[in-house]
Amino acid sequence: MSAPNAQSGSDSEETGTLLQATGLSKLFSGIYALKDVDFDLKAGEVHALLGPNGAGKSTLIKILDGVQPQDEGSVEVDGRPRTSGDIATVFQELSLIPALTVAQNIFLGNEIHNALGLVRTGEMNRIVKVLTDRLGLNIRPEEPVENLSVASRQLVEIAKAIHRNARVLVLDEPTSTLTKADQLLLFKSIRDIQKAGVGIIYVTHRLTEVFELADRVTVIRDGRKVLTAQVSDMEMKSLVSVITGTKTDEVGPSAQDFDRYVPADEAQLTDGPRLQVSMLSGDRFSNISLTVAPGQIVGIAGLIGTGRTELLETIAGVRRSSAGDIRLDGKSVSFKSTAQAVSAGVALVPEDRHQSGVILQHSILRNLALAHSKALRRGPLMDDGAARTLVRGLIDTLQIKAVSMGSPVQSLSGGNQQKVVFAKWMQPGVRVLLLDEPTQGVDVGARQEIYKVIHRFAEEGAAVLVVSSDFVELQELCDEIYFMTSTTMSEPEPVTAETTDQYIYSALNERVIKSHERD
Amino acid sequence: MNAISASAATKPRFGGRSGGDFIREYFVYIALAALIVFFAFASPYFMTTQNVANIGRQTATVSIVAVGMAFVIINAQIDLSVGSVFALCGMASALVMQYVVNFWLLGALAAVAVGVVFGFLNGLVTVKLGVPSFLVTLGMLGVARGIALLITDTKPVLISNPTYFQIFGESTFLGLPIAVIWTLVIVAIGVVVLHKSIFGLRVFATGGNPQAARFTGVNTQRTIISSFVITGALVGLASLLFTGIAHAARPDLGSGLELDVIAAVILGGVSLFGGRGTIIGVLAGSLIIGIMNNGLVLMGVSSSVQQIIKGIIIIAAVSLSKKR
Repeated sequence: MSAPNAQSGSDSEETGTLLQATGLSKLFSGIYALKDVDFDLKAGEVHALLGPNGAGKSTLIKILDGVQPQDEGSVEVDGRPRTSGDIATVFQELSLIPALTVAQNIFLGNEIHNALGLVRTGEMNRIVKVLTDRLGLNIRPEEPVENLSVASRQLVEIAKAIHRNARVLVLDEPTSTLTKADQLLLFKSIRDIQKAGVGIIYVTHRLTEVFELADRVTVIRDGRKVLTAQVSDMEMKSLVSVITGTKTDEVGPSAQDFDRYVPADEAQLTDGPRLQVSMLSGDRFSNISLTVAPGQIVGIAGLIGTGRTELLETIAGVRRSSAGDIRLDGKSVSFKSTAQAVSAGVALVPEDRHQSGVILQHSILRNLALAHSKALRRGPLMDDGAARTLVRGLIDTLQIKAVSMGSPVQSLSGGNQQKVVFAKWMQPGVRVLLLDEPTQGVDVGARQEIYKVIHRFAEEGAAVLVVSSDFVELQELCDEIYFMTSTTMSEPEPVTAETTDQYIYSALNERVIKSHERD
Repeated sequence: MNAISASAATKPRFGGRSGGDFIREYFVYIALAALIVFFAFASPYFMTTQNVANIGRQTATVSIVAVGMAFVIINAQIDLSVGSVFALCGMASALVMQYVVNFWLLGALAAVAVGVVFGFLNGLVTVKLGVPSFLVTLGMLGVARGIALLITDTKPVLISNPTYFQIFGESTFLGLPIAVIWTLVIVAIGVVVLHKSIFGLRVFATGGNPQAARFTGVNTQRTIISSFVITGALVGLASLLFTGIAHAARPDLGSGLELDVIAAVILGGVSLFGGRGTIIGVLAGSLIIGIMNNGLVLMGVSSSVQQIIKGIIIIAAVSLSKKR
């Protein structure tokens, strides 16, 4: 949506090829996870790597990185076979040690020491300071990593890689847990690093970032490369269709699934609010009020760390409120546990899918039977036949792609895992659905399907409350948006064509600045 | 996210399972069969009816406690106190029948009640104070043993109740020693509760990922406490089967029982990290422990050497069942 970075684009055309991978193939149990893929990266270039979940992006990265050997093909850096350390990957799960300082982390395993073997902390801090200054990072070397934000930790990871002379950086969905402000910080640093001649492979599901940041884009699908192109030659719509492998008019944010959806009708709205939160205070938030009617999808725009997640968790009985009132269909409730909230029909789709959403090593069947156990119980026992029928139905309805209902959830792609979380709550009696970053780490195609599921909940009369850092998502999904800071909540604003992600971003910033001035 | 798993998810694989998985899953049964064949050749007495009945009787304690321990370990907890509580349960039933009423049911209830109380305390302290169950039950191991030694000043207590001996020790049913019948009943109940009930599903969920289980509406604290209570009750029952044969309770009974039981459970394929395991596997694991105890005695191996061999076999078996 914003113009590609023309400056760095022209730079990279003049410089030589940094990384050249030719004919990469990888077989897992006789199936090609990657087949005959070529990939190249120029010095100072940001090359976006896109594709649906399970397309082979991770495999490609692991082969480039040297974590996994390829079965065929070669990887060269600067015309020589790649050696370890040439390529560094900053994973989604960060690999820093929280209790150590920034400098200690960067030097971990090759600390500078004196003749007695004692670590020279001052010298290490000095070197790190020089490095962070060069990269334009505002991070103190003496700071323990545990005190840093997620964004800053990523920057430390990047600094660590560059300190170890990595020529190529792989960033794997670096913004998936960042707020907009932190994203901007990261993007700025990425541009500085580009100038230093480092090549960057940027893996993401968020297409807006591709247009904002990348020079070239490569799309992988089903283990094969389907496209490499200059970003400036691409349009959002055509890129989406390349990724999903569908025709242009079938997908895209303006697809008919969204046009079809109209805000909950008058009849439903006059029922009175389904969820009413008044002057609620709890961990990291205070005096928050909001209202969601049956059939309505309401979004909360707020920065990470302002208590958005905590607000949802308080409503869902994970945390206790310290003041205020939560009403469900007009009746005041105060859940002492999630078990109570669930039985009252308040369901949470948590932000951290792996930790809180599903039991990864258990089968789809077992995960869903647990959530639906109220309907499946015959006395103290579980009706196995009924469970299978129900789960088969849910897999069909949500189009969960899996070998069988006995497959462990961890064998599914991110999008399909998230569908399993939604399937847990597809049961009668769910009156309030709380969604915390519902499509984080979910590819474009699956995201559309998840939006459909969310609309379905609303159509059946659930009140849906969505927290998302992806403002495009709020715009696409919601009927109304609240702007939240840790101490204030705006009046709801209806979502219209003017409520773009840019608008949401600037409106939110204004509120944040105002609330700071008040303090 | 990752291509290995994703390709597995989209393209069904032929047969679905590699040889390594097969061996890992059925390892305990293969090991059990191998052990039986080995001892059958090593000792002519091993396969006699008399000895098989002995094995059944001797294995009952470990098998029954292991069923409870399976619940605890699948919950990602552990109970080190079972050996000491075993002694205290035995003392409770003997003392009640000696000094209160010499009625078999009352003695039995006393033993089970003591087990339940200790199980409940183990569970309660673990979940409410957030102390790892390893430490809670390690402490309780000392507490229960201390009480058992204290109440009679370390003296054994005799039992003289023929009905009690019949029900828990000496009679046979369908040609099988009564202890074997008790084992089969408990295993059958264990299979139903763990694999067919809502509670069992919650146990797997709580051990597999407590936070996700909680977010799905499972009362994980209750699930954990219940598992400790089940173990306590089964420890009580197991103590009856022992005192029913011995006609007495001694405060030093059951020392080291926790090691045999935990080894049986892990051999049986239960994950020490929770969330995975089967009762039938645990029964097979218990039989391995029982047969090893019995077979080594028959071969005339001294008890010190027995311990060494047992230790090595357990380490080897567990590492074999994990690797590959």
